[in-house]
Amino acid sequence: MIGAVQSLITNPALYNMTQSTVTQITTETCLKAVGRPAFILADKDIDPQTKKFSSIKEFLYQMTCLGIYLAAVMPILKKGTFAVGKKLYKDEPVFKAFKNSGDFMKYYKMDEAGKAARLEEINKNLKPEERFTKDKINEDFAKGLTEITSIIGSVTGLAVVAPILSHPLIHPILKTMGLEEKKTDSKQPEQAQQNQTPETGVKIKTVA
Amino acid sequence: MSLGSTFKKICESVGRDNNPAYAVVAIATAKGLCRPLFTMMDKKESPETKKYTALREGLTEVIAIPTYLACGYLAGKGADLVKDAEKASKAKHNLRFLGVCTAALVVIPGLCSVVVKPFADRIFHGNKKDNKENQPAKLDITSKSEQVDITKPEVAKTGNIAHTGTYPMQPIASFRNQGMRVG
Repeated sequence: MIGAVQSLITNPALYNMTQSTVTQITTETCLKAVGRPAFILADKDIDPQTKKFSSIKEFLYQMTCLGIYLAAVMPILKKGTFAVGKKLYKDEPVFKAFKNSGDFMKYYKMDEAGKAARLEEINKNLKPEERFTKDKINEDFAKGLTEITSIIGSVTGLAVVAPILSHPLIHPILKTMGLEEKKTDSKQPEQAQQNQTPETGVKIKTVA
Repeated sequence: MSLGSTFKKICESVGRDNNPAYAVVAIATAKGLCRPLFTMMDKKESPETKKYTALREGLTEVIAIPTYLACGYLAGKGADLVKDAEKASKAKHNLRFLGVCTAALVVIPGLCSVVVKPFADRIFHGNKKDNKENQPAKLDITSKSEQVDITKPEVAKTGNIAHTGTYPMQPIASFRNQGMRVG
């Protein structure tokens, strides 16, 4: 049992996978999409209709946020990161060797032999003094810049863009499911009760 | 040290080990500021509902930030049990990630359901109670009125008029010419 836990927590595949901000955000958003509705449904103080409405709304909100993040924010970041890097650090070999962050990440994930083969391929059309070696490529810097821009993109995407875009998407879905109409229907009896004329013999009482 | 080299060092540090708490804390901070702001900008909702919702959203993120950091840190401490240095660094990162995931899945929703609603209710309804005292009285048109017992007043017996009806009769001396009543 202890051996299985230890092999899980020291797993290199899990380590490499979770070094990526995109994986971290995707996993966390999926967990939120499951966890938050589950806690809403477990709440005994809320009536069943409200619970159903709130949990589905929360699930849809998290899923739309994730969809917007993966479909719109990430492609922009993939191209933009290295463009920013090339402008800020013109002499940095890593930004000269690779076109974009996607290209670099493929190289980053390779083993030593793969990396050497890839560099050889890049150096084919270059002059001897311009050629790149493994020591010249600052992998940590490029990887860190990719992750930091990914964090900035995640913040912008999930906290600013997604909430604005998700509202027009969620409401039609909720209406299609009949959840928003039911919510408005439940308000009608209360209003009808308030509009009723008081019966004769009923006292008008003041409430502080 | 220039800004460029400082940023480069930060990038290199993140590149060596991308702590899972960084991204989630950054998102929670931004959400803590933006979500209440968007809620308050909503023109369709009533001011009271907006304030209550914004307060709850803000409190959720205020709870989320330290919880992410604490869960990540505490879970990472478990890596001390692994003796191999290389494996320990991997275990630390993986455990931090699992800690952050646990925080997102269980700890934060649980804490929020325990803390946020009562706390927001206390702040909000506490203020509401104070306001109620200053508000004008509202009419209650639904409650039945209390039955009032009407007691018949005793009529002084003068002796000059026979008292046959239910209404008290006045003595003849008290009648005055009041003219003809029309309408």
